[in-house]
Amino acid sequence: MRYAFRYCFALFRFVFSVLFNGRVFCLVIAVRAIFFSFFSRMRARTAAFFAAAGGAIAVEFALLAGPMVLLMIGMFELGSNQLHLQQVERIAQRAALLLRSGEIRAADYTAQSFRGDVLCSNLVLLSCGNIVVHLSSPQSSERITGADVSGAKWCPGAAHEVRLLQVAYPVPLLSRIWAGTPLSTPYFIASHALRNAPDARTRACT
Amino acid sequence: MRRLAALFLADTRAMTLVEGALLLAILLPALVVGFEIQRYIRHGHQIASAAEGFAIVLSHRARPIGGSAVSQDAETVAATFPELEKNHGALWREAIGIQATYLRFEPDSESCIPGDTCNYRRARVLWTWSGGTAGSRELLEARGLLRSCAILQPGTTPGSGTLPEGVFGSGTLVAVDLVYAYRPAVLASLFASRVILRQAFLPPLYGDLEFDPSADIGEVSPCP
Repeated sequence: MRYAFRYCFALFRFVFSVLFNGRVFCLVIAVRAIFFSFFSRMRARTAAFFAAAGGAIAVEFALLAGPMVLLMIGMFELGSNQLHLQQVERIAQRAALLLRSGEIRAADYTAQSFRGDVLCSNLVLLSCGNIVVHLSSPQSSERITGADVSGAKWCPGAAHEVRLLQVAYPVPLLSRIWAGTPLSTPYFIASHALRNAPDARTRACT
Repeated sequence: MRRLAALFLADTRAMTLVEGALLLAILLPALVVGFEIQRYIRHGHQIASAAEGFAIVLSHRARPIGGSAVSQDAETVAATFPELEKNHGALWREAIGIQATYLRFEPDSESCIPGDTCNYRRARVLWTWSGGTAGSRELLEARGLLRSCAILQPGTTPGSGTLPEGVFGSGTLVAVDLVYAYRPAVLASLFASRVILRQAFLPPLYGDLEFDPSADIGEVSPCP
């Protein structure tokens, strides 16, 4: 009550000085009074907060909850990322093995049919529609990266040529928020090199 | 100090906060270590995949080899291990030890009958290529892996004069060694780098990969 009165009085003095006197001295006194009133009130409240023992555990828990929850999300994300990454590696490795051994030929597929028939045939955890597949020369200008998969294409190439098979999958949403890039979509990428067989059919990029 | 410590231990206020702080001090480093282990394992897999890819691309060649051909095939290492270019840019070849060696197995005895009494426990180096950069050779040398024209024997420890027991047999073989000095992402200045070594061994699939004398020599060292 005392503070409320002091605050109102200071406010009144301030308004009065501005409207009627307009003198700088009055203004300074008024502003000082307002700040004094405000800080005195805050100090009293802080002292009362620290003196009170009720609900101490709740306050302590509230202080700890933030770091603990972040820690839990971090640990969950580590596991989840590793699982996704392993799956992407596994399907890419299997597909590369089939291409390297000559069991399947890249020229017989398009990127879509390769994804549907080869990559998605034994899928666990991953969503087939999110998989991006890329086959091209291993030169850096031709590759897709974790930050940009828009240039993905299917270039089986000619006989004897070296090809790079890349399989990409979007990083889970939580990890993107964690990494501070919630709006962009980074990708996990698994890459495997192979060389076309001497009798490989040449086919243009699609 | 002792009085302060006694006061602290006697005080029962803010117990949850102190306990939480003690737990966090253990859990936070555990999270960082978990992240670092995951990164190390991923690097290991990618380097193994890069070694395998380079060995496949080389061993699936159909004709004798020149210097630029091997160098060109080594590009697959950066393609399958993208952290190399991400961390070192155009100088990635200085940051990884890459070595390709072409070997021919020889019988222990001249008088043995091939396919019957011959035992192939010696491998003669026909040519070797070691990354093409001083950094690459240094990394291989520091690990004792820089190969030269020699006869290789079976051995359990990877070295310049040895090959794993299981790869010996008749015919020829492409051997690829990759050495990478892994640096932790967190507190890199506190922890020493750790060497990751991965090897791949494959026989040539379509033809002999001997050095072609008419081709450019590049960084290949052919053996007499």
